[in-house]
Amino acid sequence: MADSTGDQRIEGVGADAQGQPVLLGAACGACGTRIFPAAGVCPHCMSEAMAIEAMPRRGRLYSFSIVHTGPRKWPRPMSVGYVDLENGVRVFSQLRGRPRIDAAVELGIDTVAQGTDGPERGFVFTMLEG
Amino acid sequence: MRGASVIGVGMIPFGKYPDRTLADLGWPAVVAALKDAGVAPGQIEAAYCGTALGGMMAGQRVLGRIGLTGIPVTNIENACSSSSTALRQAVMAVRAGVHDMVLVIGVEKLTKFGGGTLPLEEEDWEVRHGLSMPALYAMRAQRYMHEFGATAADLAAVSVKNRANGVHNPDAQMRSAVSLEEVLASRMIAEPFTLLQCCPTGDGAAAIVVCADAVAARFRSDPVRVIASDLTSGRFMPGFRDMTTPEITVRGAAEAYEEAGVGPGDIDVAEIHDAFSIAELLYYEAFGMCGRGEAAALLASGATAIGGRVAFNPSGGLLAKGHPVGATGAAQVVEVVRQLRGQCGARQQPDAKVGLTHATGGGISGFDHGACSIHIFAR
Ligand SMILES: [Zn+2]
Repeated sequence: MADSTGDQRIEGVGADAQGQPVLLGAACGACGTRIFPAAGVCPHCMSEAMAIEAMPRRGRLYSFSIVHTGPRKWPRPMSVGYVDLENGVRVFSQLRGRPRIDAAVELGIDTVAQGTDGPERGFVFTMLEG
Repeated sequence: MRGASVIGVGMIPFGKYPDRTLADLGWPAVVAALKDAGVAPGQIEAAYCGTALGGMMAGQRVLGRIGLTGIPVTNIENACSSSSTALRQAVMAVRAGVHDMVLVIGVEKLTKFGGGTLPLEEEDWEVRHGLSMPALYAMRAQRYMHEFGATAADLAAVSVKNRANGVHNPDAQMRSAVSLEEVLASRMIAEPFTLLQCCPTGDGAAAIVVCADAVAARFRSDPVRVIASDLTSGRFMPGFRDMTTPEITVRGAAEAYEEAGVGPGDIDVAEIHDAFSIAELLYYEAFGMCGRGEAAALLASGATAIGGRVAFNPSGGLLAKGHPVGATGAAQVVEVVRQLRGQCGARQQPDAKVGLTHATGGGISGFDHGACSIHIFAR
């Protein structure tokens, strides 16, 4: 089974049983707050009973921008947005496809930057049709 | 509780000074404020210096130039709210009776970074994934346009107004007017923002002399009273947050209005944090100047122009005056104090009696903004 995250480990990303990439967040055992990226303490109730949890792979695009400026490592233009996942967690991410507010999106992996050691892989969200 | 008043203000014109040190940006503003107040250096009991990126001991570096040393100096970093937070520390010290006469400095040198977008904290998750301040405000704008039908021209009209105000401000970095067409045709930065909808990067310094109400009249016949001095931080939210409602400013505004005993209808002049065009529209609504989604119509009505019901950013705001981050809050106070004294010439809001300043910022994950400081002044 191919691991679609490839050889390069991507911070915050794991794979599900089907080998599809998933974001690894955390859930609070005390109050149920969910957060991405994962943290060792709950930002709502200060409990340290945080368990790693795979986030849903789909969500909706809350807002976006196509950015033509910024540090050299990022693509220009670069499409970015906030995705509200199906469990309510909000994730900042690069986008693929023509961004539309409220569009359904799905997690994927792609080249996201040109680092000093070559291309960097990372998570992206892609617009789903319809 | 004792009251605090502003009796002296000074600043250097905002701009690009790559050959001047932070200390040499700062001291002329301090000297100007002391002269404006008629206060001798030896009468200053403590100093509070705000800078976001100026490095260690910024206040000592500035005050060492002019021998104003050996007093308590507190250096404050709070992103765009750094020097407005410094003012709040000064006001609290005076109100508490700890000091009678204190100095506030805001100073920043951004040209040392060589241009481009403001460098943000690299430990922050979203910053490491490509978030920049233009992108953050642009996402606010896109959502606002989506929800309320505002147009690109509605946003650009903010720049047209504030650049027109800046023409009459000798301390502004950008002193030319721009047309709606020029704003819309300028280079795209982060959609929907073109270059002329983004505040310029630069250097600057501003200073304020604050004293106890009881002694103010010894120095000036026209002291400006601080009737609200508010600071709050953003609420961390890992999930949904409404980017068209700046929650930190909504809370801060309510706190400041309550402290001052005034409401939106009492404000004659306001210097608010227009880092990007959308910001001024969002803040009309956050400060209760109009209802949700009505900001573009309020701007188009002329109510927020000089001579309107409440002049927003008569100095030109961040869009024209410039935004040397840590100096911005203090410079807003310089403008409002001059407006309340009636010293602003062609950009004077007629008969301004109550003025407001608002500096908010800090692009970090999970927050609308990290910090927000609001002050209300009356003559
Ligand atoms: Zn919890």
